[in-house]
Amino acid sequence: MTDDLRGRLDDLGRRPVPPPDPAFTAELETRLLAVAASRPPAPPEPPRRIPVAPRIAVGALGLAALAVVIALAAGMLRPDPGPGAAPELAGPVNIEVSLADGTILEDPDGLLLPEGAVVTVGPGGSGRIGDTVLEPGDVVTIHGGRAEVARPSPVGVVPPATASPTPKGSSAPRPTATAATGGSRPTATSAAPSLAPTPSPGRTASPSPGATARSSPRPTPTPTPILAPTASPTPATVRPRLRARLVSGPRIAVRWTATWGASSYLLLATLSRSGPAADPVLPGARVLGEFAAPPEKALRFRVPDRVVEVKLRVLALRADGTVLRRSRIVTIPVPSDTTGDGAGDTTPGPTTQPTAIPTSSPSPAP
Amino acid sequence: MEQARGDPAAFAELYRRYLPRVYGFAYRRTGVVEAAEDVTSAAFERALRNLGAFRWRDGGFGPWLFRIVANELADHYRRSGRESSPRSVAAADRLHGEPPADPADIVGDRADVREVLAAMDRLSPRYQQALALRYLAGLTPAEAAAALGTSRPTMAVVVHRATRALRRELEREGGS
Repeated sequence: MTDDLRGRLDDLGRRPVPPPDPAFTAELETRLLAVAASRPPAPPEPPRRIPVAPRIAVGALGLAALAVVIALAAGMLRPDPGPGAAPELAGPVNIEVSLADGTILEDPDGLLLPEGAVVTVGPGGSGRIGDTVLEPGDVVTIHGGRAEVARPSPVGVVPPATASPTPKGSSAPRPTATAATGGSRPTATSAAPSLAPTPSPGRTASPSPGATARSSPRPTPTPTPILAPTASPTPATVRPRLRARLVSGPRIAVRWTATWGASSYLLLATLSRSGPAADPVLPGARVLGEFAAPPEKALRFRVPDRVVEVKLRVLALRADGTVLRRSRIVTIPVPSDTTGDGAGDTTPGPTTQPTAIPTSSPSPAP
Repeated sequence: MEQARGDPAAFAELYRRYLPRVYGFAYRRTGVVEAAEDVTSAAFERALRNLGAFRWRDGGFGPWLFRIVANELADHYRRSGRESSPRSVAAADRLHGEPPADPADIVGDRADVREVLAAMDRLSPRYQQALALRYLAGLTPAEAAAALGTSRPTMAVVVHRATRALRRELEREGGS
């Protein structure tokens, strides 16, 4: 038996494994090199020890980083996201977003609103779409990549340079809401319509300060950490750490951490009414939304009736729409008699980290 | 190796040379791409940070690096166990028993591999490390012993005991 077991172990050790993802290896090498370059130099004249090629590479990366910083600064000064950019919902409080497929998201901070999305601001709610400050009772429809605001009272304070309350027929058809981040990227509107489309009677209003612009920084696509050499290592885990739990409703509250170098995030879900849900992969999984940044507070969506299991995953995307990293899959069993908070909590670990996750484990070095 | 202490390019050379083996080791042990990538990242970062403490002995850089990987793997499983809240134990167990996330995550014969890996998870960290280094890391017995920080005879004893413990776990699992 022992020999047989050794044979199995030997066999296991000889089995071929798929090669690592080239993107992962390249990214890790870049990060390690950046960390190595930022370490306190052992010799007094580190430049002399750096060969010409890495020096050129470091210079080029530095210039690239400078260009990105300038571009970001220019982008921040520009009031309008520009044609083709999906409007982003920021700082939502008591806001419900109905997607075209019927999916309802609650307070989805940072959601890039896809075409056809309807944003409803509840009592006491607030938020911002671009320069448009949302007020209680507002209903915003995303049409042609623009936010069209319908206000209950015409006397409301409408900030300048925003969409008018009446539907704009003159707005020319524009590319899809996510065209700016990659045309071939799956969008929320591509999701199959099956999530509960009914609006919620009781919306949870989280008491947060007014509708200020979301302060969570986008995961800045810093090309290299060389610009900020620190003694501490660069966070190694760039995978979004996804946390989700079942709350009353039943609804699922979701949040995740930022990924270094990610331009946006796709939240995927699969549901099952019998047995385990399929793994959320693309194509096939439902795209609950695309987000410019991880939500500052947990976004929630309603679980349809008779669903027994939900699986979630977040894809961190590059600016060109390709997948940078995937989160782990979080499986949430939904008990049939779900009523209270915390049921089916599958979120191990402490609270979320605000930015990229360092993976340096506390194990002692050999 | 000495160059790698102060020269990023030299470290990059080491990284490229050892990455496939390190990743393969982590992947064989975890069976999941994400976990293998996490462990690989953490191990290389730790290696880079501790490069100054490396001394050329006990087999050289390879065993030293694989010892770090083995430590990271042990940490990975320790964290997994610690972070599981009582409520999520059942879900975690089910996840663990379920097929890996992607077809690419499957090392080979799924049931066979999962059974052995799951039984290894229940062993003591030292036994886990001994078996992983001996069988999954692609090291020679001498390198595996160096990576575990023991002599070859001691390594043989530890591996023997670990294999016996693993067999008991498999039998217990099969009987339950």
